[in-house]
Amino acid sequence: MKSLKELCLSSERAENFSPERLRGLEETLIQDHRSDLPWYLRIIVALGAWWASGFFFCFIFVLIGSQLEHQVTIGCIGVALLILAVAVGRQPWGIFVGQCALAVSLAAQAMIYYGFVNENHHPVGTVAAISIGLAALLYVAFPSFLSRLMTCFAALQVTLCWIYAPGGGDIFSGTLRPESALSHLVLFYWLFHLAALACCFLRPRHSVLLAPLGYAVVASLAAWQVENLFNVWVLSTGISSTSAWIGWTTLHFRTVLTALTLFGCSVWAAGGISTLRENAPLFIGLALALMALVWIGSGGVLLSLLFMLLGFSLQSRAILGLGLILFPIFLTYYYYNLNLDLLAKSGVLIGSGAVLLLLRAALNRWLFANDKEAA
Amino acid sequence: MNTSSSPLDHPASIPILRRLLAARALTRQEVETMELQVRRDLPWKSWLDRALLSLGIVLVLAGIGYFFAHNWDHLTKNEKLGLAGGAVLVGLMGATWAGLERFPGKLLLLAACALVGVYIAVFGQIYQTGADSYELFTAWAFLTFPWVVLGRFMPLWLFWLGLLNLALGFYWPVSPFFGLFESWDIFRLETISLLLLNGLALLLREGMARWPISWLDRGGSALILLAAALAPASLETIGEIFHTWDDGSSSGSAFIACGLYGAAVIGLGFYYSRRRYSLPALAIITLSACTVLTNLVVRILDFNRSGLTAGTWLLAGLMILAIFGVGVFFLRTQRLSHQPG
Repeated sequence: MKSLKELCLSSERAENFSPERLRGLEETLIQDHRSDLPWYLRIIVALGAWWASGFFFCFIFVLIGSQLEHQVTIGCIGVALLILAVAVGRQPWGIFVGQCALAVSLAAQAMIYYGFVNENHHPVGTVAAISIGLAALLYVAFPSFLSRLMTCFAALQVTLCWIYAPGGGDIFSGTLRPESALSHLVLFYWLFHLAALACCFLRPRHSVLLAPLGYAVVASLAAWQVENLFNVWVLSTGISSTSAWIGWTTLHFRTVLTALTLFGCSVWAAGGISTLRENAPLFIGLALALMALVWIGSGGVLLSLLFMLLGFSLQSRAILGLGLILFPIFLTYYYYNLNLDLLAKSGVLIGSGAVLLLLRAALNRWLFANDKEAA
Repeated sequence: MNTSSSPLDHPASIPILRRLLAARALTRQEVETMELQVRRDLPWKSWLDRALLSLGIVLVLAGIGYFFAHNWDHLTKNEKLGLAGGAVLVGLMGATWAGLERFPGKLLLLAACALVGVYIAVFGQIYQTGADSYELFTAWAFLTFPWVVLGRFMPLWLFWLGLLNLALGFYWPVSPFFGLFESWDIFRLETISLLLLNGLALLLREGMARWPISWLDRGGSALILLAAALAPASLETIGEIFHTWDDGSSSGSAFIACGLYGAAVIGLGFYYSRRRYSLPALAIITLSACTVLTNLVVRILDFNRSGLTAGTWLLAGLMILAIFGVGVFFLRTQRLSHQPG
């Protein structure tokens, strides 16, 4: 791997990098390193701040608890606390105070939900609307990575809850949203997730501002796929999984969309359309492999592959790690649910393992041979 | 600033480029061009090669596992024992063939040691030995000890120490020498014995670090051992603190536990800040100390009584904030004082 200096001096814009500018870059990186705490120190800071915030909340509730007769009062106190948390969180008073502000802001949001949501009148829809509003507002007002990630993730998951809830009402009522509307909404929402993922990460200029949203989308996609694994939405809404249209839409079409995104991301990671033309056979092989994965219906495996590809090409340990954790889970789930006896499963496993080993041998024999000779 | 440690000489990465873009030190076009170059230089081929190899092997092994699971009921006792013992022998032969000095050989030896446990479990299942869990882990640790010594591989030693921890953990509840213990005595004996075992291992590890031993790791094992020693120490101290709430118990042992714990924490803090600086080790010690102190605050403010006042909650919150604040301040000071430049 080239060093940053080599990269600057060998790029097309090498003339832009005078010794003074390089010194400036060095200073920026040194400052960045000094202000950046190692992850284990961040955990200690967060633990202390959240623990203390918990006690402060108990103090507030004991103090005002006896005077609270109306839900709305709690909501109003939540709004006041949220404003206070944002005002404190915006100050450069260090990570410890920042974490306290984050804890207070989350508790204040919970108070707002409790205070302003009417249990008898479209509660899920109201919560979804408030969560989207709060996420958008706090994304601008509270420039903390964790705050943005958590509020966006909450908004994405609450909206998912609203989609599966019948008519934006009570999710556990047993009445259903019309199947066609539900399937369209699910499909659109999945597409929105994939598009947001690409938009937030693939362009550096978007990534600077939208990285927290991107990570929230990654977490929401992973959570949604894991929820599907346990049939959370099918069970909670009483949707029949045997319904052909719903089954096809919620499983295969979403899998197709994931495969298309994975293909697009691999083209992007390889260097764009020009690389696609140069290595056409390789990409045709990839497309065929993806089609095979879609055909066997392993959507979770495709999603974890997408995370691994994104994590590796963006050098993001969080996304790569999530992909590496989800991959064996979805793969095991896929093989576990094959409607075969143990002997047939054994054959399928050995067969698929052999296919991968043969693929590796073929790649080394024909595609990577030149690199090894050159090395 | 030492020029050899200039951040510009470190390998370029996409997160660093994006941070420089966020700090407006680089322009968007510059970052896009450099990112393309960085992505092209990533070790795609070796990553793909390793992923296909490891996934292929895992799937084939899982398939073999399923094959034996399918036929398990039809196997005789000798065949079952032969299979489990054969797996151990294959691991050992593989380790000898690959060479105990090489990483694959060490890994195969670790696998052979783990498979000894499978062999003992199969043996226990076939002959219904009725052995206690601690006997299984003790036998496992005893049988694998010579290989662990020969292996000279730190993960193998940690695995072996884990077996001893499990053996000790399962021993006290069924100990035949002390009659039937009360749950509080069992807790106390377990935490103290685990602290002594892991503390001794930590002492040996740190003592060995003074000698030029090639197979010792760079310090990761010391952190694991430190956490393994501090966890039972903290639990024991917290247990002693809260035990004073129980009827008829004196606070004498709690004072002794807090005193010993405090001395140990100060000693360890001094060692890892002055003698052998390690920020992660100091973070583990600080986290442990903050946890014990927080629980001490909860005990001193007597959270066990009913009808807690708002002032008690406020005081507790402030004290916790102060405890963790001092802890973080100490760690930041240590970090800055050991930073070059």
